[in-house]
Amino acid sequence: MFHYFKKIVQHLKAESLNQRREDPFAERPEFVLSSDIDQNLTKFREIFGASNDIIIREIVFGQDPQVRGIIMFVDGLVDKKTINLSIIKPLMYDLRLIRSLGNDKVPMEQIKTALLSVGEIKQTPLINKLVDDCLSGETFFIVDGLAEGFMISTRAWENRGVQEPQTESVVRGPREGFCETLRINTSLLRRKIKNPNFIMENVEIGKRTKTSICIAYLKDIADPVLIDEIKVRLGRINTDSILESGYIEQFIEDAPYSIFPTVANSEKPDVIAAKILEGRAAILVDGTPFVLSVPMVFVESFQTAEDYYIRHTLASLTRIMRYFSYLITTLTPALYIAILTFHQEIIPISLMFTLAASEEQLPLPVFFELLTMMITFDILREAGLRLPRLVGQAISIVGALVMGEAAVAAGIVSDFTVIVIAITAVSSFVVAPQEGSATMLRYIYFLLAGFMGGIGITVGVIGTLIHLASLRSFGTPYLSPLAPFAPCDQKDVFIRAPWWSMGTRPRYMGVRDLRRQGHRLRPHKPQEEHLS
Amino acid sequence: MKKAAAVLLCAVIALVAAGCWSSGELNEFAFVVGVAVDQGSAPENILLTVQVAKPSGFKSSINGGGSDEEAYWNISNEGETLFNTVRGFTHESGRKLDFQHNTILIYSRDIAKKGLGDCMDLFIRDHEFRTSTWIAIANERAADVFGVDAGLETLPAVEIDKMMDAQQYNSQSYTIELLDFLKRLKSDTTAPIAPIISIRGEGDDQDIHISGTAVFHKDRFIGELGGMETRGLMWVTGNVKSGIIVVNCPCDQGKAELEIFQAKSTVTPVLKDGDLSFLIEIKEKGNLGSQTCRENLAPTKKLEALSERQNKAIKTEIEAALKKAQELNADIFGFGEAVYRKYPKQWKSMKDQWSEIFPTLDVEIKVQSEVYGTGNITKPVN
Repeated sequence: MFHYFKKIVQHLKAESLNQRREDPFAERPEFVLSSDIDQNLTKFREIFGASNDIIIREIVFGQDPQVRGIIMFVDGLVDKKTINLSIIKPLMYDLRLIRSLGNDKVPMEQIKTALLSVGEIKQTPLINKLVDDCLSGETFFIVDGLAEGFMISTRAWENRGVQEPQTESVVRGPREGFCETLRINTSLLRRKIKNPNFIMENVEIGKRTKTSICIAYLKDIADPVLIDEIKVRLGRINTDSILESGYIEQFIEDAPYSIFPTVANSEKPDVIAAKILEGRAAILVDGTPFVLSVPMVFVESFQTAEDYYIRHTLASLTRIMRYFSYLITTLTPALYIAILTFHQEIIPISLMFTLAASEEQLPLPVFFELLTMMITFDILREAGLRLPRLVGQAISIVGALVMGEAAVAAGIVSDFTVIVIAITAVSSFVVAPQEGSATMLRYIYFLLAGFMGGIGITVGVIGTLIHLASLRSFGTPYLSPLAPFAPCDQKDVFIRAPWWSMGTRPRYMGVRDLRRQGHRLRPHKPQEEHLS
Repeated sequence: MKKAAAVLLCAVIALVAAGCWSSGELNEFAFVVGVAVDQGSAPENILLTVQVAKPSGFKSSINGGGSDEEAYWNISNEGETLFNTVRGFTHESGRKLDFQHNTILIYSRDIAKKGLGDCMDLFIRDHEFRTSTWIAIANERAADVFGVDAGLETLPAVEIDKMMDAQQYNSQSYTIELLDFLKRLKSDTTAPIAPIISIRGEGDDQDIHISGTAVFHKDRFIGELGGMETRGLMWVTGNVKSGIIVVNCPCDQGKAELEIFQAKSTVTPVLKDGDLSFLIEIKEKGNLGSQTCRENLAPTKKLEALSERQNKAIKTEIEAALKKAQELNADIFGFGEAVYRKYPKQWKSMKDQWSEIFPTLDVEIKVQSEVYGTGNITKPVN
């Protein structure tokens, strides 16, 4: 038996060694364009193969002599109107107006500056560069006799546009959400922060997908050490594909095995802008509306965008509710099982008999009864999430009926269990960013309580606290500003202080500029103003 | 990797080896709500009766079904010793008795006369019993109390539990929890006391009745206090929370009923030239609750006259209690403890002669009461 495992381990080791030897992402050999256009054409045909979405258009332009040129672009990624009107038309018609086509020298500089009416044009002799850019929507243009190609910016493709995000919906606040196109996302942020210090740096990750990643931060606020750390961690990623920001998150997070997320994400530009203004950095990934922000602290999960838009009194109340909901959703099943099977003495006597009456005829131990219901609920939830909306409704009705009514009527589960599951389920949706950790904790606490009662819960909660206190996100302690305790930062933890009193940014990130607004901003009566 | 596996293994072993120790389902227990201790058929035997809550009976009462099933089950077992008798219930009940929710412990008068000590040790020593359980003495067989149909509650024992709580509105019986009873029992001088519970009426028309107080010497029943005497005792111990004092109107043509709002007592032992005496000061505030005469009692003078009469009434109650206690030679007020607290040195010599000192103790009673309100109206209705 052990020999067998040993063999497997040896095999795996050998395999990983092999893989290391042949790195699939070793640098490709660098080719440069030749001045012979036919040779170049063969080369490109060879590279692109039989892809039918790549359009290669040969044109002839100029007079005495006529010059051959090739325009190449990917159908669907480019704006054809721009190509027709701003590239092909000027070359074919307007070039004739330039009468100085003497010799056999093509006046490339003139063509670039005077003819091609497109915003951005780059020049490069490198084939790999040309191919990569072509695949991301640029049009390239090579001319016979010239060992350099032009990259003409023509990117335009179908996108979803700015819509209201499905997650994080608000009653009050902006309704726009990020979309799948990086450029649009950066523009949404730029429109909120009109400041030259707002930096957006581009990185490309993914050897095959060549995904554009953008690090956005405010140069005069964010800690430079943080930005460097982000760049180092991003630079370490050596993978072939990045399809969603979740990939990046898992490559750069501090605690890869933890059930707690150490990188925050949001779909709303106003949220990300607020985080950037607090001194965080955002990581935008092309192809997904979910933008990452670091560092993340635990209490951040309990803050929502709307907290800052509505009146601070209600915002504080709902925020405290959110903390309670988190406790309820993680602890209720555990407490229920612990009290019912270990600590019956703490149930008030009248409740005791009601409970005993409802548990009287049940065939299953409470532990399995509750476990079954918890799993059933998670299955129903998953089913409801993935199904088309209309079918999803049907599923929820069936689920509600089966869980709420039939199971109780049949005497399989007690009505108290249904209540416990219901309150657990409802409150699990309140703290969306920590929903994953809440679900995990719920099962962990539940098992501990089922085996060891109240002691189990205590062990679980203390263990969780120790773990939380040991976590860090990009250098920031995960529990800050609670531990280490920062009195000044408590204004935005359990309560949300009024805006005029939140004069400073959170300290725990080591921001360069702590003050975010002036002093004495509390609205006051006109005569007071007069006096002061 | 190895480390993680080891930690995981340890965790699994810890969980499984713990084996859900002491866990149990609600429907595996028989929850006892009341315990009654009676004299058994043989002189050395005790008869233990427990009232067990029957959840199936509750279910029908919750759902409003017309089931006549009782929500309780009284079972008895006889034996020589207490713990053995308690365990002996497995001969009659399929579920293990669980005493965590026990509300009341009733001893019959026979047992009380023989001494409670033998039948109490378990209830304090064992972890399942709570020391906050009420303790009471039944005039007749203690087990019969559990057979009387409860008025408002589903379970007779719970009804008694609520009744014990309600005594504070009348202050005519001294309700006491097991722990306080034990404190008195373990004291050198203070006599234990417990309320008396009895059954009134015949056949289907029976009611549970709590009034009066049983007085013990050590653990043996030696006599009882009536309702007014009990309140006299409670004035001194400061346990009067509420109640009604009935006095004659200042015009002597009717009665005035005064509701007690607040009462405070100070017991001061005075040692002068080797002579011990006591000073009891009572401060009370009350309200005119009802009157039968036609006189307007609202003027300050009338109220003062009323409080004068109230002083006298309170004093009479205390004197009655004192007289009874001295007759029984039972220091129910805890005078001995008060001396010990104030004169610890002198107490050493007095301690052994306390039974001789107490019956002849001089006690001065000062009552200062106030009637400060007349309720919603000032002039009488009639």
